[in-house]
Amino acid sequence: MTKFILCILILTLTLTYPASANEPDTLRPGDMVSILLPGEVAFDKPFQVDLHRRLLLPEVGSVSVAGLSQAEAFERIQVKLNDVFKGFERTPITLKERRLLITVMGYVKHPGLQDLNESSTVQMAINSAGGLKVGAQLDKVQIRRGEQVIVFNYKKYLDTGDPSLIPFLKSMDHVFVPASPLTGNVEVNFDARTLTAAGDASDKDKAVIVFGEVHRPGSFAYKGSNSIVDMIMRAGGVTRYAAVDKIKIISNGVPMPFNLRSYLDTGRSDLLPSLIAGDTIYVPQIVERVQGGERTIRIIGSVARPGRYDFTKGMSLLDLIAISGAPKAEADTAHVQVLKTDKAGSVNGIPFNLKKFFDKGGNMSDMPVLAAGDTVVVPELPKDPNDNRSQWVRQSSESSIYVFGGVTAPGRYGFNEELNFLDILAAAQGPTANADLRNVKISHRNEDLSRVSNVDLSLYFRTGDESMLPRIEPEDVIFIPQRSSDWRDTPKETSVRILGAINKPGRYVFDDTLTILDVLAESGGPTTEALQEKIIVVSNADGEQTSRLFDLVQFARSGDFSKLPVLRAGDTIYIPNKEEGAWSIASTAIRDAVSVLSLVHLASGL
Amino acid sequence: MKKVLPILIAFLGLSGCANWPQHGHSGAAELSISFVGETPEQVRLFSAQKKLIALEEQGAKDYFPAAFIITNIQLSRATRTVQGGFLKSSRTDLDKLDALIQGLRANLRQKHSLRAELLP
Repeated sequence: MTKFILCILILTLTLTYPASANEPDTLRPGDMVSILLPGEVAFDKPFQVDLHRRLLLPEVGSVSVAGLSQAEAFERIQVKLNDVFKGFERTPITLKERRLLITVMGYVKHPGLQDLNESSTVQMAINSAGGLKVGAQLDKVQIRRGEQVIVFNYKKYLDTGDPSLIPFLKSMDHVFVPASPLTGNVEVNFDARTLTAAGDASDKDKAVIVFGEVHRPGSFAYKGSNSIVDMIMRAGGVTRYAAVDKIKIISNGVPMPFNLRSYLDTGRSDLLPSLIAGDTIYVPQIVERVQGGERTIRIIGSVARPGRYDFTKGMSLLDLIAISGAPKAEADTAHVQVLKTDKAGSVNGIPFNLKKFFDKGGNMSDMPVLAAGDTVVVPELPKDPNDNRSQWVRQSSESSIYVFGGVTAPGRYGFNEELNFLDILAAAQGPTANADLRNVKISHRNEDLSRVSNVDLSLYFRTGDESMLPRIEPEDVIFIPQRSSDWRDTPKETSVRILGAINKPGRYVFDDTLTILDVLAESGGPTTEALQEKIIVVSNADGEQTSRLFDLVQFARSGDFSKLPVLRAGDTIYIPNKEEGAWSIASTAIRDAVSVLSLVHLASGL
Repeated sequence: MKKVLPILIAFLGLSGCANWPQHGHSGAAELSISFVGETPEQVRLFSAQKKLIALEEQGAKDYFPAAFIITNIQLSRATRTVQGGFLKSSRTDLDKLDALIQGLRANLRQKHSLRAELLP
C-alpha cells in the first residue's frame, strides 16, 4: 500500500513538475519581446505577445509562441526573421518586460482589456477600467481563470486593506464585477442613496427585514452583533405613528412581541430579543390615534401633501397648511374653506382668504379656529386661461367674472377682490385687433339697480390714468364691442350724418375734438358736382334747430378757421349739387322766361 | 313789349333768388381763446378756462391725465357753442364743464391731502 501511494506521488510529481517549472520560462500574453535589427525602424519598439500568444512582426507576419519556452520561441522568431531579413542570422532577441493582459467586465465604467504591469492588483485593474459603477456588488467580485472561478470580498479588502483578501492576477484573467440585486432588472438612472435607503442586503438569507412605521423600510444586512435597536435605527428609526410598545419580530415563522418603550424606559438589555439572519421586524401603526376622527384633522385639495393629520390643541390653520407641505402654485388660496360638522351632522363651510392674509398680513384671531374632525379645503385655480372652458364648472359664479366680445379668449374667469380690470383683460389674452377700445361696456350686476359703465380703454392706454379704470366685482360682465359691428349700434348722439354730393355719404362717429373738415375728409370729400360754396349744417341739439352755411371754397382761399361752422354729434351735413346754385337757377329761369315771351309774342301776333 | 317786361322781371326775381341760411362760425373756436366776456355764458366760459389752467398748474394733468383730457374736450365743446351762438346748448355744456372741473378739483385735493399725510 505504501509502495502504491509512493508510486502515485512520484508519477504526479513527474507529470506536474515540468509544466510548473517551465511556466516562468514560457512566453505569456502581455510579455514584451525586444528584437534588435539595426537599421530597421519598425523594430525599434518591443512587440507584445497577444491574447492568442502570437507576435505580430513587420514583414514577417504572425509568429505563434504558444506553449514554447523562451528559447524555443526566440529560435522560432529567428527562423522567421531569416526568411525575410538577410544577413541577420543571429539577431539578439530578449524578453524586455512581463506585463498582464486582464479583461475587466461587469459593473465598471469602461469594461474591456486592460494592459497592466506585472505587479498590478485587482484594485489597479478595476481602476484601469474606469473604476466601479454605482450599483456594483462589492462583496462578490469574481476572477475567472480558465474554468476556475474565484469569488472574493472586495468590500472587505477595501474595509481592511488586507491584501491577502484579494487574489493575485495572472495574465488573461477575467475580473468580473457583478451588479447589486438592488439595482433590479431594468436599466434606469441609479440613485444609490434611494436604493440603500430601502436596505443594503444582497442576500435575503443573511438579512433582516424591517418594515411598518419606520422611515426607511427595507432589507438590511445582518451581522451577529446587531440588536433590534440597531436594525430599527438602520431603517431610519420609527415614525411618529409607530406603536413602539407593540413591535413584532417574526423569527423562524414564530412572532414574538417587543416593547421598545419599556426598553427605552428601563435600559434593561434583557428586554432585547435576540435576532438571527432572516428575521422580520414589524413596527405597527398606532391604529386608534390615526384612524379615529376625534383627534385628527383633514386637509384636501391643492396642497403638497393632502391627507389626515393629528390634531393638537391650539393648532392653527397656518400650522395645518405648513404640515401639509404648503399650498401648490396653482392653489386658489383666496377661497380656502374650513368645513365643520355640527352636532346635528350638518356641515358648514367657513371661507377664509389666505392669500390676502399672506399678502397683507392680518390678525391671527381672524382665522377660523380649527378643531379635531374639521376638514380644510384648498381649491385649485384654472391651470391656464385657455383651459378656462374645461375648468369653469369647478368655479362658482360668485367667484367668476364674464368677458365677452372682442377679446382673444372670451369666457368666464375666476375672480377675487385682489384682481382688477386689467388682470381680467390680460387673462382673456387682451383685446383683439378689431376691438372698439373706446366703448368698452361693463355691466355691474351686483348693484340694486342695473348699471352699465363705459370705459375708453384707448384713452387709458394713451394716458395711463388708472383712475379711469372701473372697479369690477365678481359676477360683473365686461363687453368689448367690435369696430365692424352693425351701424345701428352706434347711437346718433355720437355721430354725424353727411348727405348729398359727397363721395362716401353716411354716418360718422364724431366728438368735440373734430371739426367739419375732419368729417368731409373722412367721407372722401365733395364730388366734382358738389356746390362747395353752400355746404349746409343742420343742427338739432338740445332742441335748437338751426341751419348754417359753410363755404368750403372761401375757407380754402382764406384759411380762416373762424369761418368753420359749429358741428356737434347728432348734426347733419348736406352738400348741395351745383344745379341747386343761384346761377344755375337763374339761367334756367331766363331760359324759361324766353320761352314764355316767345309764346306771348306769338299770341299777340295772332 | 312794355307789358311783358314787368312780368319777365318778376319771374326772374322770384325764380333766381334762392333762400340760403346764414354762414356758420366758431366751429373751431377753442383755437382762439379770449378772456373778455360780454354775455353771461361767455363770462362763465372764461371763468371755467381760468379754473382749468389753475388746476393744470396744480398737477391735474399729471395726476389725472384722462380726466383732464375729457374736461378739455368739454371745454372745447362749450367754447364752440357759446361763441357759435347756441344759447341753450351752451348752458348745458357749461353745466357739464363745471361739474367736470369740480370733480377734477376734488380728486386733486384728495391726492394732495394724501401726499401731505405721507410727508414726514
